[in-house]
Amino acid sequence: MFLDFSFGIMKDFLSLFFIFIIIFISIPVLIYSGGYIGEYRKNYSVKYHWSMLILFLLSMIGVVLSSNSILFMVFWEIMSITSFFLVIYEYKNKENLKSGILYFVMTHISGLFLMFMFGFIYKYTGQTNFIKITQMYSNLETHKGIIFIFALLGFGAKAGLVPLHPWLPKAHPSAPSNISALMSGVMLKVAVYGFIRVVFVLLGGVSYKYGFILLFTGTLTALYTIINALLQNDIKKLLAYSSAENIGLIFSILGLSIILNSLKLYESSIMALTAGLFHCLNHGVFKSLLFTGAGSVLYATGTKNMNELGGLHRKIKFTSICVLIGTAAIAAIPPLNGFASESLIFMSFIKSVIAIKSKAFVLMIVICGTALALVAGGAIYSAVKAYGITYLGEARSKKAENIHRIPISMNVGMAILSLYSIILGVFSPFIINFISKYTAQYIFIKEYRLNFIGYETIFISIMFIVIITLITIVSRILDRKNKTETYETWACGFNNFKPNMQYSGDGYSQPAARYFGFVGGYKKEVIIKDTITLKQRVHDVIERQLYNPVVDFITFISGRIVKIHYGKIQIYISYIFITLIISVILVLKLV
Amino acid sequence: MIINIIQSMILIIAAPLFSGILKRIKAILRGYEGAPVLQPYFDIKKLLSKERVISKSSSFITTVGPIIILSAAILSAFLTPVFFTAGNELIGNMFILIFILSIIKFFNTLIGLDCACTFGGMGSSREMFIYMFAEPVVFLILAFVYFETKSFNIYKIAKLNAVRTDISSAHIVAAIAFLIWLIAENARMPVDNPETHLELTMVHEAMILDISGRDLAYIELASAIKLAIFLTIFINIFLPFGMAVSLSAAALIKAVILYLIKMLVFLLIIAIVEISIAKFRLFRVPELIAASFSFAIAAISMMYFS
Amino acid sequence: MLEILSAVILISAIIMSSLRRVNLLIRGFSVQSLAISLVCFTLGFKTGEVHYYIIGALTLLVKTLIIPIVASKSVRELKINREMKLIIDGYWSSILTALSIATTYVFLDNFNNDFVKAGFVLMVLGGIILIGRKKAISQMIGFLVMENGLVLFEISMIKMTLIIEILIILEVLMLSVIMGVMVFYINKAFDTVNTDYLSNIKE
Repeated sequence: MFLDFSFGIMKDFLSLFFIFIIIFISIPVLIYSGGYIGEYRKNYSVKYHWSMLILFLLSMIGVVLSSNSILFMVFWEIMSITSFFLVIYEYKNKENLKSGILYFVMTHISGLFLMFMFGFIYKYTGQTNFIKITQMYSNLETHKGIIFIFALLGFGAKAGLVPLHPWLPKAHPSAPSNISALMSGVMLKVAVYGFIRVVFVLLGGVSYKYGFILLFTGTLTALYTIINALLQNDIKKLLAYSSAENIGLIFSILGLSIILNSLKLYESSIMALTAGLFHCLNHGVFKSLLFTGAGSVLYATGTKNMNELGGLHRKIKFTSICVLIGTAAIAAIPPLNGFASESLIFMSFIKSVIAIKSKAFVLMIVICGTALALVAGGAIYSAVKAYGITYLGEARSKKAENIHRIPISMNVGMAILSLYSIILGVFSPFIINFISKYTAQYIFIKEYRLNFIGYETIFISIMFIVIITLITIVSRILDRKNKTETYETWACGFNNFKPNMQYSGDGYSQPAARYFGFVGGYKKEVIIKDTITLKQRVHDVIERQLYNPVVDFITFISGRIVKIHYGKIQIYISYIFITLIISVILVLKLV
Repeated sequence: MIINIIQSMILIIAAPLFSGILKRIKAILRGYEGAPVLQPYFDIKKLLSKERVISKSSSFITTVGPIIILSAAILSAFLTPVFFTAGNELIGNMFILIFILSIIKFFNTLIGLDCACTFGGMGSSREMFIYMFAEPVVFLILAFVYFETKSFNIYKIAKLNAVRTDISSAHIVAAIAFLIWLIAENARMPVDNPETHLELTMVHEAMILDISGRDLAYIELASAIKLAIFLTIFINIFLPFGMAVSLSAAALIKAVILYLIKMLVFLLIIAIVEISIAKFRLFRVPELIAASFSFAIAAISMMYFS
Repeated sequence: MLEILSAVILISAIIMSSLRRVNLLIRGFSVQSLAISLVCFTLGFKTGEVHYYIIGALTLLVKTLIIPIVASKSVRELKINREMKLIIDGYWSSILTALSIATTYVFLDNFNNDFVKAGFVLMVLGGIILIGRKKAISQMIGFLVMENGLVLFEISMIKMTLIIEILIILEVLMLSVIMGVMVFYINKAFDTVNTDYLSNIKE
């Protein structure tokens, strides 16, 4: 056979790191699934779920391990299809089928671009084996641009870069929560893996122009999706948008790394790539935690609309503590893991600027960094909204009062994830140094040893714990002297309290909607008749402006094409016959 | 090492004094006597000996929140140089400092939502709204400081700037940006009125309406410490002249006196700003922060592009 | 000294670009002109050229004193203190200001003189004020800020002759007088100084 079809596996640092992410995160999520699936036992097949889930995990490991572009694509497609089946697991709900189909289409667009990309690589190098491509990437020198663009489109569609993101906020809420945890926490990272593999390893770095394209796309994604996340009231939709935001953050830091690499500033470039890789791991952990938390809420109450929830801390206290840790992590609260990678990202933005000579570059990088800082603020806003409205206060509807008990396995899964979040944060300096060492060695093939934050995070964590303990002791002593009494909420003496007087999800983000609402298609309507009603609506602007016309057009074309169906076998045979004759003529004429 | 701990302890202990002085200056400028400068200490003592009343809607956030808030404030005090810096401390990364200060904000907003009170939600939402806009300014100020001194370590920055003799115009513009951010972050006047409990001005006070007893004492103490820390950071980044860089008695005494003078000057400035500007409408606060943003950008441009 | 003055010039310009009150706008302009005249005096003191002193004195006289006094008087008489609806509102105009400052500094980075860049920034910010406001007086202030930028340009690199500079300042003075008269008549004709209503003249 003319193709070199060796079934070797990739054993370099990049693959091992991502395999670590997959296994590390999927274990607690699998434990969680054990309890979570019970809910579906009545209506759906549990065996089907488990087999698809295992196949999904194995195919992701396959993607990361495969050392061959054909094998890569095979596993990639298996991953896409199994995840599609998992998204439409609750097939009896028509809405889920709809979003599943959107996901299916998007994932195939992604696959198509990747197919093109690997085709081009094969055309120019004659190789499918990754290691051999690396050895002869000089052949690719003049064609890097087209390959980069296809990689960006292909992997970007899978990861959820704007404007290829609309499947994320649709597929995640439709999928069962353990699946959304895996899809957001792990599958998006597999797309990031593919991108790093192609752009950093196979192409051996590209020109800074492409780095800027990536930086801008990432920043735009982060800005667009965080504002949309802020405006959502569906917990899982909010988390889905926030996943896209983090992907934007990761891709923009990768873009920065490319820019620095092409300017031969390897040290800063390694730092940026390290920040990106570390954020992959961290985002996987805390986003899985938050999605599993959303799953627990869904399990316990049957709704994921924030405006019907509230006061869950009383009934599901353990979940609410775990989710608090996840929320603090996504809000970059030290010493948790979100803080570790986010501060590293911002530090590498600032540090990189010092080294770059060109002022226009510096200007663009500073502006992107500033936009990402706004995104970080928005991330805290949306995280506090998601947590505060859902878990704190009083129940806003009957659903939030009648609560199912949560199985122990779900709590165990979440506890492990929160533990990860703390460990990865406190011991972040070791992890960062470890990643940077191997990144330098295997991706840039340079020897650099970097010390980023130093070890002060650990010291500070210890100090923080000591101070908290001291103050707790003081409080205990004070409490022994003074009583603690529980009353109704004071609220400036207003004593006719009703739960729906609390701030709702809409109200909480309304100030931001007033400034950035146009990004999320925010519309406010006040109808004054006998009673006053306030309606606030949001929609995804890109989806409505870009996707709906395309969908309408395709529906229109399909409507026309349908007319050649008559349902008679003879007519179909004649179609086939005519096609055959035309193709024979074409082949004879042209070849 | 020991001197660092001592100076941080002094900062923590003196923090309520600074807010007392600020209140007194405001009172004098407005033409009345005002409470004694030690009043915040009396308030805290009174609150600590009162019984604790919590809402029946509240959760574990109300229990642990105030403790964590106070711990974060104290921890950040230990990461800040006050009047002495050797420049070779292991701790003091600006990023970590800023993020630790954001713990206070995070738990404050959660406490606001915790007791199921409308006002709390309102304050929490507004606080987050302001915080979101302030974040880019923080990034730009940190970037500016890094461009100027090539360091993220606040002890090192203070040392480098303490021995510097020339000040560039970028430095002044950046200082203005920082000052606006300081006012926004500490809920001072044009952004939030710390003196009243009116619904219109409710940002910071609204979140802690249902907190009482020792919890309230903790939060009040934490916000006093936070104001003192912000002013100290400001002084040590932008005006650290006269700071002690060696451990001699003369240098230390000079440094302490200069520090106190600078502190008083800035308290006076804040007091003047507070009595001369009316509180902004919430939706005009982003304009103020945007002005701070453009100051920071201008500072970076002048620093880096010239 | 020069550093502080150039900082004051920039700070005043940035604050002005997001101000709503006409009174404060005028005061900011006055402070800015004062700083510019001080810059002129400092440069004159350093180089010993009479040229700088003359420009400084003229700026001090015309822009720090006469124009602000005239303008605030007309503001008081016409009772127009506040811009109601800005075309570019405060927030976005500050963002725009920030971006234009950064781009200006990037594109002029091969000039080694701070005042050239500051002058250019003033021209751009004056333009933003001019475009973003509706009241005729604030538009006049925008125009004057642009003129201040020109002065900075002039004293830093481009050696204009003294006569031209004096002519420019006189022209500005004339402009403010004409503007004052015009504003008065606009107010008389339309009961407002909002320039939107000027389109009513069109048939």
